[in-house]
Amino acid sequence: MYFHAQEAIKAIILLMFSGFIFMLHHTGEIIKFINLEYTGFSQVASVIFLILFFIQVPRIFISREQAEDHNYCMILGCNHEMDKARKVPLKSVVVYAIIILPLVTGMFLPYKDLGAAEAVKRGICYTPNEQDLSHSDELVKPNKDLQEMLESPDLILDHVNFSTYVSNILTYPEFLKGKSIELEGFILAADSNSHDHPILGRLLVTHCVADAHVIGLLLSSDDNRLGNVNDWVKVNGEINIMEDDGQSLPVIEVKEWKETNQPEAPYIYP
Amino acid sequence: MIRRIEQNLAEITGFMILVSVFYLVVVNERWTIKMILLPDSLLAFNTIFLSILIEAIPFVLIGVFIAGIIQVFVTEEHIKKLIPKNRIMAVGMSCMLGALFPACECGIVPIVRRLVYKGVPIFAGVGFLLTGPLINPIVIASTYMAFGQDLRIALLRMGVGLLIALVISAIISYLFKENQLKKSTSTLELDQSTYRFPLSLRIKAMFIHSVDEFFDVAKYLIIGAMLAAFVQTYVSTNYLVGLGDGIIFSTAMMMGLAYLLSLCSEADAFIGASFRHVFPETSLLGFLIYGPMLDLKNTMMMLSVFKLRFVLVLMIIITLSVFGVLMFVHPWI
Repeated sequence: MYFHAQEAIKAIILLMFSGFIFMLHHTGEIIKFINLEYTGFSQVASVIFLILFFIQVPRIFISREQAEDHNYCMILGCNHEMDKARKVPLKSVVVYAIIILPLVTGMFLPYKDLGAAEAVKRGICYTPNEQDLSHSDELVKPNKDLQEMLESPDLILDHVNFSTYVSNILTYPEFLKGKSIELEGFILAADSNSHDHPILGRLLVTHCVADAHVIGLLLSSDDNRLGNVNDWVKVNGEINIMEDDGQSLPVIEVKEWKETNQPEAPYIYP
Repeated sequence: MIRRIEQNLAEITGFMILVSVFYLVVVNERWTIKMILLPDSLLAFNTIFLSILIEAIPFVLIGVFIAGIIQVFVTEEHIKKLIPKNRIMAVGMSCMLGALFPACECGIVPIVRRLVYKGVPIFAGVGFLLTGPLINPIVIASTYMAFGQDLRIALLRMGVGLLIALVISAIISYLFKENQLKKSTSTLELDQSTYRFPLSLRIKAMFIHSVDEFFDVAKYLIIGAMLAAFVQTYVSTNYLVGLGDGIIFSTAMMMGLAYLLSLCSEADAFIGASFRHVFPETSLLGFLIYGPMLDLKNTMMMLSVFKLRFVLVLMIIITLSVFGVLMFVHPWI
């Protein structure tokens, strides 16, 4: 019986990938990385890694007969000579080190929720787009969410309706002017945009947090402290319209605000 | 000592699995390094890096499996029968096939490698590689959603993208005749038909090839994800955007951004849409078409498969074609 070191390393890596992804799901920390709708894919991936591990294990141990038998090399590949088995060449060591790296950082480093600091480096969406403006003269298409928003006296945004409500406010500010609104998010300082107002936003995660970008609304307040908050805030206010280059931009006149803690689920999904 | 370990390895492995399962089930808290104070940006980098990997790995595994299936079950005769003799027909067919095949830009690299290895001409492989991630139902649906349920951009992305892919694979067909694969050092050199082996063995072989393929591809995927995460953490997109003004500059800028961010083609439309108020549609199309064809992550993966010279030439051709075609169609967009 021979022991094949490289195959053993591969087997352990496969098992670790399976375990790592399983652990993320088990502890619920997977939501810090990907949109919940796509967790099924990575659960399947975890199972596939486990299957690959079981396929890999028999390759670790080779009997002498197998080592000398080249009958099956045609189909299984030929890397079972014994002189190769013991040594792990330097090049392979580097390769395995690279592959293990995400497992190590994933297991031992704390995860960070992305917030305002990362958000300013990304695309920020706080203005309506021109195409939508062009057909806003026509009667509004029957839009269930908008109807619901028009009927309710106060708009209260939570993490489920945040993206639809905000995009409706951006698209049809005229209809919603004067409504009172309550929402939660982090503050992006005034210099992050060309309108010189702070933005209250949240990160919208489509697929994984690498594609997160900010969706939010401009704030207007007499209180200068609001623009310098680094933490999450809860804002009560009223929707108003600001004219800029002939474009009407929704802006929230802040009535009251307070700092809050970051919620359990910091991201929102489309 | 080593001999003792070797003799008992099966038991040791079993024990380790048991311990890790026990750990996973009982201990819910992760043991993390909290003593050392690490800068926030490094932790953000790590989070983005891992999220790119976790997102990509299922799709890479699918790609690796399909590659394994091709390796064991598809013979060169099959390929010869399927690919049209006529070069123009072959280019068209490979692009159409790619358009029907839902894959992402990292999952498709191992598949193309196997296909080319089995005798698919390199230009047809490239056509498949380019259209696979760019044109498929999921990408079209997400583009449609991202641009405010506007079909125009989604259709333009498909149409112009297909046109560009056809141009590129036609150019490749004139430049390169051989298969351009790296000389493989691994185990995968099998030339003869595997049909004389029983089915069970062939299925086993398929899995074993999948494992080897995964390790071949994973290192490049990880390096690519790391580079992309680095750019995402430390480079401000606003800064890049600030560099560009005018249609030529802004298109080049958006293409560069698409390359560096290395987003999955299923999600990049949402990022692209957030630049709508800054750039004209042509530049956004540059972002949406160039990204799925070529990015940091998939450059690294192509380097694992093809010769360096071929990858460089291909990158130049893709860049020039996307840019050229976009500039050409700009007046009509």
